[in-house]
Amino acid sequence: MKKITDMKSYLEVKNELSEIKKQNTNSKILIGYGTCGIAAGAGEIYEALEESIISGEILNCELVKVGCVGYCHAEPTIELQYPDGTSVLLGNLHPHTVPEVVAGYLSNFKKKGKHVLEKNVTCDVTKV
Amino acid sequence: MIEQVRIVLRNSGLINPEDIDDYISVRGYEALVKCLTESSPEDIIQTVKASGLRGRGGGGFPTGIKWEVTAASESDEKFVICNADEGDPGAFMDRAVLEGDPHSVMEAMTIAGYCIGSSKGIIYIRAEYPLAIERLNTAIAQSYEYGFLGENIFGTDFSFDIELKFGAGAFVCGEETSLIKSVEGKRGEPVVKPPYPAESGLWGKPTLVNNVETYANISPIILNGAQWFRSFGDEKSPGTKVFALAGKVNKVGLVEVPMGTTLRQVIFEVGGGIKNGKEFKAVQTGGPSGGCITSENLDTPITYDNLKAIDSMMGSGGMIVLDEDDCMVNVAKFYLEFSLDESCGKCTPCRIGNTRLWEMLDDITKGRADDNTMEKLEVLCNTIKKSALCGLGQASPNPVLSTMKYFRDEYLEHINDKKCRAGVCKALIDYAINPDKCIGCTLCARNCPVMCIHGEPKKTHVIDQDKCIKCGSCLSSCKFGAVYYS
Amino acid sequence: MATETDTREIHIPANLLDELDRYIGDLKIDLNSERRKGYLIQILHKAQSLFGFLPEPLQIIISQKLNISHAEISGVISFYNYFTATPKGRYRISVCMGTACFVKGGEKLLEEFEKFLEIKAGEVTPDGKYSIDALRCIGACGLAPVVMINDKIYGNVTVKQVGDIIEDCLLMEAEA
Ligand SMILES: Cc1cc2nc3c(=O)[nH]c(=O)nc-3n(C[C@H](O)[C@H](O)[C@H](O)COP(=O)(O)O)c2cc1C
Ligand code: SF4
Ligand code: SF4
Ligand code: SF4
Ligand code: FES
Repeated sequence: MKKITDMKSYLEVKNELSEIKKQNTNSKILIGYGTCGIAAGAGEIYEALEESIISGEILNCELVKVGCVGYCHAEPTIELQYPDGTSVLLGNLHPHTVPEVVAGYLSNFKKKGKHVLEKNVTCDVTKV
Repeated sequence: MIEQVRIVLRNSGLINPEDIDDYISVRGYEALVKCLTESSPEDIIQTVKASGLRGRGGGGFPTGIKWEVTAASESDEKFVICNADEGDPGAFMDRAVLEGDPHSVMEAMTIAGYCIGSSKGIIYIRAEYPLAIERLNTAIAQSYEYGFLGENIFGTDFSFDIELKFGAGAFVCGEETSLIKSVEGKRGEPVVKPPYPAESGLWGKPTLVNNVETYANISPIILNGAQWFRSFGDEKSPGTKVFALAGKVNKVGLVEVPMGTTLRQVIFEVGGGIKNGKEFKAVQTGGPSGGCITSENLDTPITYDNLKAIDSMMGSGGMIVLDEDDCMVNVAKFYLEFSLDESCGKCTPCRIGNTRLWEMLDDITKGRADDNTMEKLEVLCNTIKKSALCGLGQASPNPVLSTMKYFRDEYLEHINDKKCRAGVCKALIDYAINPDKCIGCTLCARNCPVMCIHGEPKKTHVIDQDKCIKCGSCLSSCKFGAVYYS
Repeated sequence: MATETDTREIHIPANLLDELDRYIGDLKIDLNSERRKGYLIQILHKAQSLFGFLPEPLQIIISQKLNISHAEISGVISFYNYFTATPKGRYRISVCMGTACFVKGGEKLLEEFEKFLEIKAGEVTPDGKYSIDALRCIGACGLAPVVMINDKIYGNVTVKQVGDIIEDCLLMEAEA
């Protein structure tokens, strides 16, 4: 790993990372993997999605374990990030149905439905 | 509709906490680079002061001033401590930040180290958070690889290390002097302040103690400026606050809202109101040190000073919503039991005083209290408040005082009428069967653990009150709503 | 019924002791410094995770290794709820009694477990299999009431599920 020594080298690393991010045309599935999420079954959700990615049922997607967004009442939750930068937060998921649900939201870019908790959970604080 | 504003939780749930690159790509560590390469410690402290940020660990002490005082203490060695003990039962904001965005806290601690002239950071984390511990360990290792921690960071003469220290299940260790004792490997008994940790803390050296959420605010303040931070919240309480909504509310979870938002907005708009259409009774803030807030104060904007004015406190951000099924005397007793359990036993008012308080409350809930109990309660509460040594003891009577103030009639009902309207205090309720509704299905009789319900099939059943242990099984088993309590 | 164990007769497995030794060695503690005490709590955590509890002979070993009096160490152990000088069950049932869990019926769960296993909180079943403890908030308040079996968390637990949870333990035991 490259050592960061000043603002210049920091920005180099950061820009390189955003470049990689930009070129990545995959959608991302962020799984809420905090204590609450895990207790509510995030592990099973992860496994189910991993299987569907391997089997090809879900295409062009990456799975990432993240912390908690605070929707404890709707755990397990996942956030789908589309390649265009928009996103949708889904909750009340079940391992048996989650591959189908995710595939549906991925193909239609749907932003409505019973699983949707919030759209475009982003934060402007670090954007500037 | 009130919108959440995510400053503290900006990355939680959006980045991979185990990948430092994810953090960097959302401007992670930019604030640190900026501080170390472009600013003097004095400038940064001025910015933090100007932002008006106040400690999120409960006290609400201005963070900038704390940094300034600790920076001014002369010493060959100083420490930066992150208080991640999160002892308030029912609060989980800090856990979410540490599990979801550990680097944000570490980055801020490093900035603090630069400002006060310390090269050693310690995160004191409770052992009940194994996942947060694991993620912090990963984050620390990755941070060293990039050179955000270690010797001569960015080629400057500033070096900084971060180490984890673990709690071991003692609430009082969230109090800063007792936390320091615990880091020193001793029994976590508080000591009298002054001297404050800023002058003499860990190993007798000047020590900065800040809460997790306080630190999580630092980088955005550095990146966006003090004025930006002040654009959220209230003049005297700028910024946002994360609350852990729990209890009888529909959308249990974390919410981050600007200070000055009202309780009604938090509970009914963001929180979606009370579960199962029940009636809101009170919300408890500030945990075992706080008080309850009733419907008459629901429109109070949440700030440090407003909550104090209505006999509660901000605390760390736990909000327990109570409904008509909760008995306020019992809730007060619960908190007192907690304080009693967690008292370190060092001083008498807390150790003995709280035991007596608990006994009196127990008498009330069991129908044994007499007319002047209320008076005695009040006197003792005030004595403990005045004479206990540390914050735990001083604040332990608060839940009792505040429930006595706002729910006096409920106390009096228990004492005079021997009644508990919520049906919680077992000794004060009788279960009975309504003959008009009972169809004699025998289910309750079969479920009663002491077999004290008699009756022939298809005939009205009757409870033998002398034998009934008030377990409530009959009430929950009857499908015809025939069992009731009074 | 709690089993009283005479901790002096406890046998301490040598391989685990070696592991503890290595752990302490890696910390590179200066035994002449007052600051050696700062390592005590993490060493007790490590020891308890290895042995399950902190019997007196083990306390004495740690006392010698760190050059801290045994009295001081036992004072520390008794202060912190997390440490235990007596053994727990193989399945440690911790019922959360934090506020969020309390208002959602944690107390009833505790009573049910106590009834089911015929022991009280803080005790171990005579066969050493189960122990019950009341615990203060594990930060999963969103799923209150919460029960933890060893490290596994069960959320939104109802009184009716108590039997199922015990059954889960039996399954785990069968697998192991
Ligand atoms: C009994 C007691 C328990 C406390 N528990 C905590 C805690 O769990 N977490 C915390 O950050 N502060 C806690 N505090 C407050 C700390 O003593 C200290 O004020 C705080 O960590 C300072 O950080 P801040 O200025 O960033 O809020 C507690 C105080 C008392 C009296
Ligand atoms: S007030 Fe209570 S917790 Fe604080 S020092 Fe006294 S006995 Fe210990
Ligand atoms: S369960 Fe209800 S209806 Fe049936 S016998 Fe009991 S009281 Fe009567
Ligand atoms: S409350 Fe319990 S003991 Fe009393 S009658 Fe009902 S089931 Fe029986
Ligand atoms: S109160 Fe039970 S997990 Fe927090």
